[in-house]
Amino acid sequence: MSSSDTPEPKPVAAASRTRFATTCWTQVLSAKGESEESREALAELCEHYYEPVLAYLRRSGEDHRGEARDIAHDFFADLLEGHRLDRLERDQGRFRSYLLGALKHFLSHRRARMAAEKRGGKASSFSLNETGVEFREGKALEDDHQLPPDSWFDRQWAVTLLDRALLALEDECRTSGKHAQFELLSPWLTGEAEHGDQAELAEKLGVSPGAVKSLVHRLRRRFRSAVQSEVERTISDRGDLDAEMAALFAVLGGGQLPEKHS
Amino acid sequence: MSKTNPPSPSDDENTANCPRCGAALPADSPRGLCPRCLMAEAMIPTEDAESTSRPEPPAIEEVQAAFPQLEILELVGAGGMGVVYKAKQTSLNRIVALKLLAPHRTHETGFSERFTREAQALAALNHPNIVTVHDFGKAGDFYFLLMEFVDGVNLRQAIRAERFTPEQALAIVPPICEALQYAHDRGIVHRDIKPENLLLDKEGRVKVADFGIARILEREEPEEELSANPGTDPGLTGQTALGTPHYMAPEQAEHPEQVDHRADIYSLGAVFYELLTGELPDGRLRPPSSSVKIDVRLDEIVLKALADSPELRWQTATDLRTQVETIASTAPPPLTDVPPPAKAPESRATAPDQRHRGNGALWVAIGLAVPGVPLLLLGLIFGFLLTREPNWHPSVREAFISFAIWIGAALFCGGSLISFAAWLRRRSPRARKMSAMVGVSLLVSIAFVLIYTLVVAAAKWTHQTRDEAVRASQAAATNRAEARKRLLLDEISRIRQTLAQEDDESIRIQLEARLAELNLQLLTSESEIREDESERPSRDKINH
Repeated sequence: MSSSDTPEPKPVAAASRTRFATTCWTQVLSAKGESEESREALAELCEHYYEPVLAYLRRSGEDHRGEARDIAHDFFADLLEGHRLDRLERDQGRFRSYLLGALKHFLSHRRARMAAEKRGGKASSFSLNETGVEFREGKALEDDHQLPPDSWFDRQWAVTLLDRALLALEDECRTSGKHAQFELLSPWLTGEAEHGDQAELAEKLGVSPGAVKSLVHRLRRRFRSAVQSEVERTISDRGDLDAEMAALFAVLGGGQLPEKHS
Repeated sequence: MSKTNPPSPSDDENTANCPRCGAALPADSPRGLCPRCLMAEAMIPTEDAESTSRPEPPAIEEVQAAFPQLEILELVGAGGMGVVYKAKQTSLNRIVALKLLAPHRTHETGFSERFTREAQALAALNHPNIVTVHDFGKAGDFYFLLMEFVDGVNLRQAIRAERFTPEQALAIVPPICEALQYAHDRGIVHRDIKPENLLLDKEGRVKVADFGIARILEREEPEEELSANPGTDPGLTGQTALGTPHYMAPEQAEHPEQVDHRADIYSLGAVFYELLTGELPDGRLRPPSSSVKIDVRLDEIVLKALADSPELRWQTATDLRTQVETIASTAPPPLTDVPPPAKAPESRATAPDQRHRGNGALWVAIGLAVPGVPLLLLGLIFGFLLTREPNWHPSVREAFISFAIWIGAALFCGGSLISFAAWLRRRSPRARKMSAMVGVSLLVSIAFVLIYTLVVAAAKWTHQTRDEAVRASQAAATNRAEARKRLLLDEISRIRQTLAQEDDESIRIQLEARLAELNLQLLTSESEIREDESERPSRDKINH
């Protein structure tokens, strides 16, 4: 995994987070896909992380006839039929690793089948579109010449995860009637400067300039928490949270963490 | 900002750069934000109180040195606002609480003036439910407040130790409201009502601490711990829950400078919500009664206190107190098929009246039932006596009975019925006890009336039979005497006839003697009949 060749950022104090939401991946692992809930949990996870799979397929050259999407569908259908879950180990800690492993396994089988001119005609189709999840088509096509497929998968994973966290945060703001606030403040998540005048922002939001800072501060905290919950859904052991986040950070470029803002 | 840029995925000349790390933004950046910086942001440890907002409390020796007039006993608490020591004021030989304001805030400009201004206002607060400020000032490097020491626990500790029952919650809120109202009347807003600031002493009294401290320590950026995960139980995060904004009114977060007393009402509403449900109000509020078994009328009260807009909340702490007390003093409506409570403003207007009306009915009931009891007893006793003593004039008897018994019974039954009706409408424990007594007395009164009716009926019946027997024997005696009298009269008339025709002197003498004897008997008989008719003394032995 790509985290090995970048410096490890300093770990987050795990004690500061106490959360007891059942993580989806834990659900899948505990029932090995045999209960309805665990199958639903797996389906949900697959929906969420469709994009990295597609990115991997495209990066590893499976897309020459534009069939990456078909292969992805077949792969998920195969996965959700439960063929691969019985090989699950209890200590299969991260969904990200599992999914990539399963994907590679699926591809090698597929290649073998194709080589033997055997058609696996019985693959039932599983539509991910039914769930209303939007796939950002085409974005993964950018930059086809840097990262190897595995790292590319991880990078795409990290971007997807961040995107999901932002969506969750946006949803949260929308339900509490603060969507406009989110729209104006979200650019501030990554920095202080070059995002326009604070006073102007305060005026737009109808709050005092001091309060803008406080609102940004809160939004950042919420965002951190949203990312953490998103990561927690894909790991079985909460102790892995820091390591997983570090790995994702590394694949995004890594480096030093910025100074604290406040 | 130090950076180790990612192998920038796209070097197109038209892509923007991340304002933070300067790297080119990849086209798939979520919301156009640099993913690396986003992830970096997510990895910044959430500041917890230990690491940043809470400084190391100064050592006791250090504090002791600054306060020679005190004997510093122990550190009793530390929070974002400062630290609290238990100390002994040697001159007065009393235990006090010494609060040292967090030093990193006291260096801010204008702090000293603000501190003096606010502390003077606080020192003027003198209320049994507010922790008294004895003194304040600056000693050494410490800005301090010398306060009444409350021997007990704060509400947070109490909640952790034991889940509150709705009754306890109902008991705890009114005194806090009183304290708040008292302060609000003097223009002081607490601004940081939360379980940590509500102290319970050993007698179970509630005292509000840290009035206005939030204002003294006001900063541009609130330092509170914000837990973004609604599922997080703040109780589990230990010390970091300090100053959690869940108790903070929405307008307080956005316009801290424009906060008025209604922010306190919101915060108290949040505390109340937590006391009732064990959860913090977060996001979409569920009525407390949906998760715990409580009086549904509380939902409306709590949710109104938690209204986002200050205008929609209870406008004064007293309003809230009145509502809570109304519920505490009245019984919950029956659990099944309860019609939802009326709209808030309406019920707010009518609730106190109902309460008074309820009391009014109770007094009417007592006024009726209390004189009813002796009257009833009097009537019963006399009723018994009168049925045994026949020499009373019947109309006096009737008057007595109807006055004493019937009026008494009517009063008593009326009173009991009214209070029973009142009971059906109000059901607090006190009213329940009272109405249990009323119920018993109602039963007793009904039983009295029944027994009395039976007794009177029985007495009447026995009288009647006895009278009849007497009258019958009297009639028989009279009949006998009259029959005898008629015989006597017959004989007398026959003798007179014989006497008129008789010439023989000796026979005439005999007849006249017989006549005299008969006349004598007749007289006796007549007197006997007269006697019989007037009364009925011993008459059997006359006619042998």
